[in-house]
Amino acid sequence: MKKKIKLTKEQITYIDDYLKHHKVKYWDVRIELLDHIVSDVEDRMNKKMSFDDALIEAHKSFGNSMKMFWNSGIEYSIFANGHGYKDFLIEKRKQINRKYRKLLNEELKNFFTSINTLFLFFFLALILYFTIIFNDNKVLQITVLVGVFLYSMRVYLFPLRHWIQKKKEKSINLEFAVNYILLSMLLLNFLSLLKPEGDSSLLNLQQYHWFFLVSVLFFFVINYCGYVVYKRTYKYYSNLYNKLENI
Amino acid sequence: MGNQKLYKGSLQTIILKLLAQNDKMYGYEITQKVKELTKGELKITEGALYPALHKLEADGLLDVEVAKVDNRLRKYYKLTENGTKETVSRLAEMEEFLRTMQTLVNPKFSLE
Repeated sequence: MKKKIKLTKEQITYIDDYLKHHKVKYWDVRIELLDHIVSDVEDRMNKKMSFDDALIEAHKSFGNSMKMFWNSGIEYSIFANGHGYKDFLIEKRKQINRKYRKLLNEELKNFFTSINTLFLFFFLALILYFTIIFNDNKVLQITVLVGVFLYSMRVYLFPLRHWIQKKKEKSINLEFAVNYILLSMLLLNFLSLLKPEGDSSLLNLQQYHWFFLVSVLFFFVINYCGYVVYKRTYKYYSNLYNKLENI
Repeated sequence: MGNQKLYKGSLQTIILKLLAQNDKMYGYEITQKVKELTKGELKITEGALYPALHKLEADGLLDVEVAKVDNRLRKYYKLTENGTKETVSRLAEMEEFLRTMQTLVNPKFSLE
């Protein structure tokens, strides 16, 4: 039986570079596209097609096109566009966004149904009640709020470490895993917008204090759950990236 | 080749059914398997397959497993517990749909 053609490491790297050239910048998207294209090219080469022709066919199969255009009046050139990959990425982003919204929702549900986290929630609520509503000591208030804020910021240590280690390869999963937690920052923005100043304020001081308490609590809960989702995602994709680097 | 538009709404059910029969599969394998089973009648395009797979994954119906194969990584899809349940209900819906279409396209008249 005739041995089946398998692409060499160099040919696979060539296809990976071709995908990068077509702006597929996320490595965790590229692994799937790369495997598909390599399998397709190998199949076509086993049916007596050349590597270049097989790659052109695989390129077109994703909805990309090869257009002939008149190149500065000297000769015809082939222009390969990557519109198919662009659409692929748009769809992927949409689904990844849904995936992480769902994962965060599930984690929020877990938070409010587990005894340990519920205890944490009521404990923090009590501390905030006694420092914000029942107390005028500014130093104590600021200490508690800075504590909550810094604890909530733990999630950003992962992208920070990534940035310090100068890892250039981007992951679509890690990018979207942090997106919804970033939205919780809007709560803090509301706090500064609704601060009562003068007679025309929307909330009086007492209402504002309650609003403040609830916002800080929710900011904490979203960041707590976001951290759990992000940490799990980070661990999984770091292992996968190491696997990819060791090939 | 038949009208591909008619198959469009059934793509997710086709994928779920294939995964129920094959434990785990990768993207290219699915396209080839469909081509083989339908003797070339149905060709799932890459532009339709992957959005459907990613949607099923985001819905929690598919799980992903990555393994090293010949100098590259391969992403395998397999059904989750929810996915297995959903496959059963979607196949039942599909059968119902086919029966209804059959009645509409080829009605059997009776004297009752």
